[in-house]
Amino acid sequence: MIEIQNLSKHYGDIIAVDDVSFRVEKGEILGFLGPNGAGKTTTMNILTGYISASSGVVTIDGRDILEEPLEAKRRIGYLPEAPPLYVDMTVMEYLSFVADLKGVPRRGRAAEIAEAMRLVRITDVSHRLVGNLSKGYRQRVGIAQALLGHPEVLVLDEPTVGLDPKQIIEIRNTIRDLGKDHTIILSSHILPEVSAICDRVVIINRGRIVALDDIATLNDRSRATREMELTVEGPARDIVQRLRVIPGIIDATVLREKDGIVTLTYESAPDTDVRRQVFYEMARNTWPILDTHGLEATLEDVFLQVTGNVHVPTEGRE
Amino acid sequence: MKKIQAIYRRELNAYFKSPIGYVLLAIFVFVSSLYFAVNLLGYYANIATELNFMQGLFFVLIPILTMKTFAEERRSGTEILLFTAPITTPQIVIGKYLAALTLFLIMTATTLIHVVITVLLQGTVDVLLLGTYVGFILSGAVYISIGVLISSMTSNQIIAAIVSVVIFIGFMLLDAIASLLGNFTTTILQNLDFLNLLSARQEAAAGQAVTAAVTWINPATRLVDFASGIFRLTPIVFLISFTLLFLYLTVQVLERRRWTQS
Repeated sequence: MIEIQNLSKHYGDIIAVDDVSFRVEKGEILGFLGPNGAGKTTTMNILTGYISASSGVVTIDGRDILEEPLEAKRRIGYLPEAPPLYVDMTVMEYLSFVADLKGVPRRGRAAEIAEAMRLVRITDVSHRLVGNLSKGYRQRVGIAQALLGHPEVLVLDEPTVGLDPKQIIEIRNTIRDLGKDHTIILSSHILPEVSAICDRVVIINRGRIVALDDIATLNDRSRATREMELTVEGPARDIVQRLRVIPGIIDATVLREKDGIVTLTYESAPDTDVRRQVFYEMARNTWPILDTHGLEATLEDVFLQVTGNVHVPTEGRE
Repeated sequence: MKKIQAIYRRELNAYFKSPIGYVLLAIFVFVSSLYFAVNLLGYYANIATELNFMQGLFFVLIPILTMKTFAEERRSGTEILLFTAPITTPQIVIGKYLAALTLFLIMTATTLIHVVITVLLQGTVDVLLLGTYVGFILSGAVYISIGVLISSMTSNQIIAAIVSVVIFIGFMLLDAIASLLGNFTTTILQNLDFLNLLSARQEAAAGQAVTAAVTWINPATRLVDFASGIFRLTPIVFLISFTLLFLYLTVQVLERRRWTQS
């Protein structure tokens, strides 16, 4: 559906995107992951035809974005990093304007706008000025705008950035729903977000692709061990000693200790589950477990793994 | 065509969602009516001179009209919507241009009330006035295209307005600049020509040619005929070509920017 070949973009001496190639199949949700300044936004701006590449080819459904821009653009709905909203229009006026721009036929246009508003749950603000909406609503108006004209491809640049946790969950659910009949590219710098929504992920760093995998493989690759956090009431030194003798546990470290309550982490081999042994061991010593949970791999873990780098760059141009 | 219409409608509405449309109309109506009324009290009102007077205000009115067109889209990031939609850059430029031109025509139309008053007071309305109107509208059309071009070059509407004002003042002074440049050319030639290769007459002719060239470019030169009631095709074609040239340049500026930077 989307094919990107040897894409590069230079800004003078700065190389924002460096020889990037990947494909997105029809109906797939692809996560586009990387730290700030990795070149995510630049790549998305190129593949939607906003700016041109220095070299390389982008085709949407077989249509080159530069050779047949109108045909290619008709197939894309784009939510840029900052939703392109006219603050002086009401939500309804704005969506009608976008529908006109995308050439949605008059007949059935009202229904299509209503459907888009329903999907992102903004029907109740349809007559309010965009400029008066909260950030979460604006983001959703931005998504509604991308949906108009029934594009087969949705390109969403950091769709959940700046939203509160409840809104983030809502937007993620919406995207997952949309994924049933759209091809989606979604950028993010948050790994759990991508693993929650996407089928496959491209990791980009300093303009280059450093990993291209499906989520499961990536999660496995991202760490050599499985890490759990544990909070127990009891003597720290004894607990660590006890933990270390449980077969399968590689290491245990105390994070903090306060009022006889210890928080520590322990690592085990990725294919072994030692949670039951830990429970019985603590119970046998009458050290009550107050809390325990697995630690998610962070983007940094993945980065360290795939780049073999010790330092994750966070500065530069996006 | 539908796409142009979409841009046009949004743009025209936007003038009246911000104070800009009202402020422009208010200034225009107030100043032109004041001019007319004062003349009327003096028992001699000429709408042609009123229009010429208003044309003298183009250098402030037109920049206010055009400063937002592209600068504001760029600043607020909404241009990304236009450039990633299935619509061509010329369609965007034409839609926006026509919207600005429409507001200008609405402003111009308000002076028709003065024409009606003139007729009611048994004044004469002749072909000279019609010519003045045509000239007024055509020169407004050229100025707007220049304003739109300037707006496409920056993301700051204040800068767009200031640069437009400076350029328009330059146009107003173009007559003076023309003879200045002509004299300057003659003087330089005289000083360089120490071998006396050129006769004094040739040196003077070169200077006159420069003056003539600058005068030729000056859109105001073309308006003289209209004001005297002469309709010729040449000036009309000239002014329309000028407008199209600036709109073409606007398209080029917008396209080029997307090819070179973000």
